[in-house]
Amino acid sequence: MHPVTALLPLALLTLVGCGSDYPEVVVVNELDESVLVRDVSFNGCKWDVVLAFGEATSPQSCLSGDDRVHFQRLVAVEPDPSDSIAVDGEPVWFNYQTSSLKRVNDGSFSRFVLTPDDLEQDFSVPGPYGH
Amino acid sequence: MRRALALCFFAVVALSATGVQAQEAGEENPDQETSPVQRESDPEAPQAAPVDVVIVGKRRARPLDTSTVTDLEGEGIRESTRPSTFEAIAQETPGLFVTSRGVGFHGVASGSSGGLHLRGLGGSPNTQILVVEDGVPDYQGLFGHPIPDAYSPFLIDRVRVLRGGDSVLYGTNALGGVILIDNRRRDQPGWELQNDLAYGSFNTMREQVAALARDGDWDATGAFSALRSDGHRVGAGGMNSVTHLSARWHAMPATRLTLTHKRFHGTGADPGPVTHPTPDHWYDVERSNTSLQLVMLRKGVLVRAVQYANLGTHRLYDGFLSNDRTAGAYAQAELDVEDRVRMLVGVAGDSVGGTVENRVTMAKENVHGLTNVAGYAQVTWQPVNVLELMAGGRTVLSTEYGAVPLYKAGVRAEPWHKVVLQSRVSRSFRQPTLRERYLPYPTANPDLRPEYATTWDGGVTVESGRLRVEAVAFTTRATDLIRYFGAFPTAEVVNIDTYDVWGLEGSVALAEVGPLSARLNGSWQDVGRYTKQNPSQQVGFAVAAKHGAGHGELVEEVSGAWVGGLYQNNYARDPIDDVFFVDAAIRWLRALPERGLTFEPYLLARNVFDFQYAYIEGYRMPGFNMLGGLKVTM
Repeated sequence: MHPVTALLPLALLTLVGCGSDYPEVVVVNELDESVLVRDVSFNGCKWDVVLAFGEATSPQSCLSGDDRVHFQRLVAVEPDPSDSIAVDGEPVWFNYQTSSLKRVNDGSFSRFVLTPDDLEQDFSVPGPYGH
Repeated sequence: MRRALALCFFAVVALSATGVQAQEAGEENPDQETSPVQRESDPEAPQAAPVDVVIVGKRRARPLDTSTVTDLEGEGIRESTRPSTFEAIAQETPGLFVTSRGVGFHGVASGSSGGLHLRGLGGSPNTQILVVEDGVPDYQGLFGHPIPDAYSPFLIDRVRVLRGGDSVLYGTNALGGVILIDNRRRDQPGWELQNDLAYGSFNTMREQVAALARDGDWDATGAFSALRSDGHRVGAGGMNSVTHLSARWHAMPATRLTLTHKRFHGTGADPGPVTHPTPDHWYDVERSNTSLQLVMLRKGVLVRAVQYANLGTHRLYDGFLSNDRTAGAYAQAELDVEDRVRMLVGVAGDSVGGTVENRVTMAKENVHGLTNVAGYAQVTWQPVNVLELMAGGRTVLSTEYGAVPLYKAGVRAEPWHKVVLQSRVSRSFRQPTLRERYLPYPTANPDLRPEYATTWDGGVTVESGRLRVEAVAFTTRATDLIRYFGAFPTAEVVNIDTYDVWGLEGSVALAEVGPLSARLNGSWQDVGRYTKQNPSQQVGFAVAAKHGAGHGELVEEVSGAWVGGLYQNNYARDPIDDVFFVDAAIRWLRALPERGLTFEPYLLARNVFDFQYAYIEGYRMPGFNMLGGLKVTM
């Protein structure tokens, strides 16, 4: 085979390889009507949205493999003056993740639903450090 | 899908390999030239000798060196499948480990990679391995280490990795080793132009152009390199550009005056761990290195005088803004004092400083600069032809620490033809960085003392025809090492008492046996309790074949690496799965001598088996990806 004829299909393969076949993921908030969700992330993806009950993220291409869905949640109820959790009147978002590991593969489309029975606190959030 | 692409790649490579007739490979790099000083003073010096400053004198047929070194040709670094210069160097150097997080962007601050680890030292903070480019030490004034992204391989002529510290010759930071990089220059009258444009996965684009010229008493080099990519995941992309300009005046025979300016601009982000991405954690770094060098050979005395300045501005997403500076100079003379005794003496000085503020909170950090001066000497004695003895010392006088005595001694013997035995002991040091002393990220300690390491190594090298085998044992005892403990807000940075490392390094290289060349290198080390990003085993390998093909030459290479015993934290906590990847490359070199042109289309395939691996916990490396390009030389 002439080397040029060998390199041409390789060049085509390069172009094809540039196209992503990463798995696509959507996350839906079905925790509770009083619960807001934000900073949703999963295996390399991050959605900068606040999801009310029943709302979903847009599809994003994530890495293949296993991860939990990580997010911050806020229970949107009338503030209780005796509640010591509220700091300076600001709502406090807590870090949560799904209890179950989710697996996605190349080329797949996955729709993950956040439900109250698949929920635990997330202590794996990196601390504030820089530079 | 990506596995299918990888299989297709291998199939096409196999087809191309079987369809051409194998032929004996010629010189790998016939245009390789030694530096003018080296060529004029020692015409018999081997072309691979990487450092021009020590090569002088007619009595020596080979460079005097009792150190354990790995010499690499620039061509191999440029053609590596690895996406960054440091990764390419590490893959061919026993014991050298470099972290990575993507397709060529190491970044800065949180989540950055590119840390150099050698013989249990280096890494985070990445300040114990010194990088010297064209005779100029490269470390930032505040952070004490180079920017890994600022090294583009396009101009590199030679790299020498000095395994084990040598602060006698190189001063602070040369604790675990030194990476010496020499860039190309044109020594023959005329000019040449090279352009290398590549495109590949993740919308990655790489452009490298270099122009080299020589006319009369002047030669000049200009190069520009740019890399941009979307990255393999959100936040993993970026944009780096490096501009390198250098002019050299051949003032008179054996006298060179060189002015060099290098500028780097890098933007990107810390993508964060895959579980909690942080693509909004951006950085913007600008750095500028300028040096003026005089090299002169007079009556057998080689004099070298160097001045340099290294300035940088770093901006981060959280308001951090720093301006730092490193300025220094050294002058040294090397001469034969007797028939078999050679001496090198020198003086050096450097100063580091900078300012730090947060543009959001308006807070300013109180940073005090450091200044050092030093005198050093090294004597090499060759009592008989097969034996060389070396001893050296350096005294550093610091504005903060007073006098710092350093030493080294070594022996090199050639008891049998083509068999070299070598042993060396050295005491090296590193001064605390201004970041460690003053910047609370995550904490600081202004009372930190310099750290020291005493290294012994001994080894044997057998070089016979096309086979080269090297085996080395080493042990290092470090004292007062600076280590971070804990996490924000309760972290602390302190000097620890004693840290011992020992290990073995080895390599086998087979050059041009028929169409094939191969190399295998590996290392094993006992790093004790400081296991953070400090792997205990690693192996690098490559097999290459050259064939005549059509009117040109086809080169195929399969390379890879394995890293084991990797942990995210000290005390063997948070183990990371072994790193293993295999890369492949195919190049076709077509020369048109009548037009003075060469074309070189190429294709690089990385991680062809699409393995999932990471050097840093949570920072997964890309799966199978490709980069195709065309290099044109005229």
